Amino acid sequence: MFSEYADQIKKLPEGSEARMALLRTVIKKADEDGSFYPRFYFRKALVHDSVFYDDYMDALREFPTMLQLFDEEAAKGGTDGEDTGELMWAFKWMLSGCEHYYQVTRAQFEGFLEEYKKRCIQYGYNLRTYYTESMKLYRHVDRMMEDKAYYEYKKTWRDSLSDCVACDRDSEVKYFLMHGDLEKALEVAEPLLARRLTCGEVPEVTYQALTQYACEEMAKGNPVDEEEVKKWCECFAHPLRYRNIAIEGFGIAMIYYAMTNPSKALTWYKRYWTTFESMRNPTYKFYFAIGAVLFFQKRSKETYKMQLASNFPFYNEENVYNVKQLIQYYYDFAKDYATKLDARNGTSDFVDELNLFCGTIEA
Amino acid sequence: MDEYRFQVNLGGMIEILSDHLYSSPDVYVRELLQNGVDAIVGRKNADEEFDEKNGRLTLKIEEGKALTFTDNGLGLSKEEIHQFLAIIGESSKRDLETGRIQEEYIGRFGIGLLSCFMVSNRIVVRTHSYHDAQSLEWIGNPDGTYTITELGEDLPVGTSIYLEAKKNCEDYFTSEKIRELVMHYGALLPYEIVLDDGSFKGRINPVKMPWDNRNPSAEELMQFGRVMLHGEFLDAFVLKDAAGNPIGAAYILNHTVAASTKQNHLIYLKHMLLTERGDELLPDWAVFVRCIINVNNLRPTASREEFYEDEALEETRAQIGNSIIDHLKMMAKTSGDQFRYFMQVHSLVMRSMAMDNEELFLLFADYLDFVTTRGMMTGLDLRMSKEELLYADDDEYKQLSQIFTAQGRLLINTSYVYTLGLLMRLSEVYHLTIRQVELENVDEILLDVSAEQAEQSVDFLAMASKELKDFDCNAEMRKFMPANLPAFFYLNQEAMFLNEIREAKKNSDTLFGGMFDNFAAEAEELASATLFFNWNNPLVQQMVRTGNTARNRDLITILYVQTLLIGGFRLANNELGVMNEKLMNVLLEEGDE
Repeated sequence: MFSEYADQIKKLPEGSEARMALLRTVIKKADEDGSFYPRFYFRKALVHDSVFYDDYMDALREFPTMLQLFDEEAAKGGTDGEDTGELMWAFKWMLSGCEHYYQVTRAQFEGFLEEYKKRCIQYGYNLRTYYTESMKLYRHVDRMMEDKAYYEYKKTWRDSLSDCVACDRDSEVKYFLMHGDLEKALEVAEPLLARRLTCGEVPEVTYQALTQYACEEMAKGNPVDEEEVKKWCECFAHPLRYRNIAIEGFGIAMIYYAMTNPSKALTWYKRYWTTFESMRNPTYKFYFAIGAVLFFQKRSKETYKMQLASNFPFYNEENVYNVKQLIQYYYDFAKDYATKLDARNGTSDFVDELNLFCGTIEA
Repeated sequence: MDEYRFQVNLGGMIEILSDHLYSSPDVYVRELLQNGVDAIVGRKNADEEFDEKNGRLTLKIEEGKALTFTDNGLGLSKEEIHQFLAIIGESSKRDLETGRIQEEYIGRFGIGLLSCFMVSNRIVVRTHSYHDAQSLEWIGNPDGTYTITELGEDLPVGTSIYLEAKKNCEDYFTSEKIRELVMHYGALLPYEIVLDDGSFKGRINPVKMPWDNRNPSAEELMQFGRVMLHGEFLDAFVLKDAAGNPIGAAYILNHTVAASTKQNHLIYLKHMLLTERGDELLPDWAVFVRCIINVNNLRPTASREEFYEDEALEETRAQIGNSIIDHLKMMAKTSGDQFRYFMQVHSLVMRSMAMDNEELFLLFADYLDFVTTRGMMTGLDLRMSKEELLYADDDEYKQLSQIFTAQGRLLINTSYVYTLGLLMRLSEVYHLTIRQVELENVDEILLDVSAEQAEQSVDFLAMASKELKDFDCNAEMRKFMPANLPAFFYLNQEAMFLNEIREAKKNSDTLFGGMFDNFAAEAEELASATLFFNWNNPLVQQMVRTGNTARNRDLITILYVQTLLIGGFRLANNELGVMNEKLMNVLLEEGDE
């Protein structure tokens, strides 16, 4: 039975709603069946899709069960090296999601990191990936911890859990961007942007980070190479080879287009407003909300005509929308997420970012 | 300070090439063809009197023993032999002044001839350069040594390469194999390729491609596809570049393929087969075609089996995509039946294309299929329908479809790939009203009871609310069809999410408990679960009449779990155990009676 489901799942596009829905259904059936392998491996597939194509929520929800299943099976001697490897990859991916959700407190993600570190040692992996995940998690939380993780990462050799050279480079690019060093970031990014080093999501996610940086610079009134930034955005904000847009970039693209290309911004907004409504990832939603605010702030009249589907929250048959209402709607979302993310992080990065792009908007 | 030179172990280099660069010894024929073609191009550039149409490549075969490959190209002088045959990596195609390789040459890297060492222990090159009077013979050995002899005889301008089969490579020197390899790699070459195996001597490659300087019929293209791609297809058409020049042909498969399928194509670079993969040359949605394409301006990798990812590749990919889309538009316009059949066979891919392309959406919209409570409906059916279009995803659809079906109401299942996105596009373009089913909509389907009926239900509902408190479920009275459904359970999205979080926490390591608690706390604020009792149902009416009894309290719990099971909900909180307990109570009560 489960092999038939596996065949069906393979035929559906990775990350598609249908594939993820089928995976959830099959996981329920596998849980009823009680066998380890279907419960473990279908969860791993869902974690993968959730991380690379969706908003990480399924990964955060399902990975803990994966871990529990693994430990129970391992205690009976029923797991092998391959299972361990699958577990650790899923753990690594799940960790990446924690930075996006304020519901995961600092103490909690530090606990997850420690558990990950413990298992790296236990299963014979080195700590390189522990350091790269630490860099991500501490990015907006504790710069000193991020720096420390970076230096340790640089000293640690690659192993089978850190086999992606492109991903490592991408992490370094983001590290330098956080430190405001664009020159160094571009130097490190060179083989990625020249596509000599690529993987499933690199360099698209690198282009996304560079575009975000450029948007921030533009918001500060600093000069940027506009043609170059336009190319960066085009490199990630379009249906990619063999998969759809890495959804995490949809908000950054909204900001960029809102700042530079109103007609493209409108097309983008019409395409992704529903994604904003349905997804749970606070960071992704935060950036899209900022982009939407920027777009509507630039409308010159009080009302704006848009042809949208009738499930739009403010839908009316005349297709005429109150600009102020829309600005407030998205600003309130962005402010809420920024406040909660900063409260979790103990910094003001997100509120600062909101103020940088949108200023303060009173209700 | 002493200066030294890096030394090359030729034997080791050959091993690297054969084991890690080239996919098979078959490629030696490709390399010979490539060098021969480039030599002819070189002669065309140097010799004003040479008519390129007279360029010829001849393969003379001693069955299972040897091959003599001859071209009437530029030939090599002594200096060129020292420089290009004997220095690995030194391509003769490179302009000596600028160091650049002209685009019309196929070879670039100066390692092609080494591939012959995969099948032969000696390479004998006999050559007469157009620029030089002297005919020469070069013999290269795999140990890195070579000799050059000035020949007394006057060879015709051009080059012959003689290879003897080494042990266990005899199969690469049969007439059948060589013919197969020549057709495989060189079928599109613009020069005459002559095979001479003792019993046959003649041209073996086609004179021209179906699309060369004319518009071929679909049948001609299909026939070409049968020969080259060994298959039957639904349709065939010429692919064109941005300038409208034909670059090849596309063949639409006549069977459904998965969106993740990687098709095999025949991709030629300057008329030489580069690869049978080549899926990077096509848009990712083009899984329903196989193509034969010739390009001139893309950069191959060192193995010459794929292309570098660069702007030229991106542009070519976009052009091919446009070509395919143009053909589909024309098919829809001029061959309706064929287009409908095509849509049925390739429905998933078409849905994906319709999502990303406005024009294609308008083209495909009427043919798209939607699963509904009234069976399969097309986009045309939906846009002709005058009613509001309600939709729900899998879990909600399962909950509601029974009631919607019983009432003859339309509900669309948006769990399938791209369905919601396409429905929204239909709404935008054709001004349809669509709405996701929410509790407010459920209220419309589940009708209010009359004031008297509501009054009669008060005590019953108070009892039910108390019984259902442990399950975080509210109780309400409505009337709806079908009458034989005693109750209907409805969870909103947040409630479903909350259930999932609680279930996950139960099955997880305690390390994650705090995280789950945080998610649950947020979801609880918006979660809503309601059991709607059906006034139309005789059992419910009986329960209302008989009031607050132990049996009715048990029946409420039983009905609750039953509706969960009917709705396909995962049971939690030992609901099944509780139901069994309540059923036992009812049985025991009946026993007492």
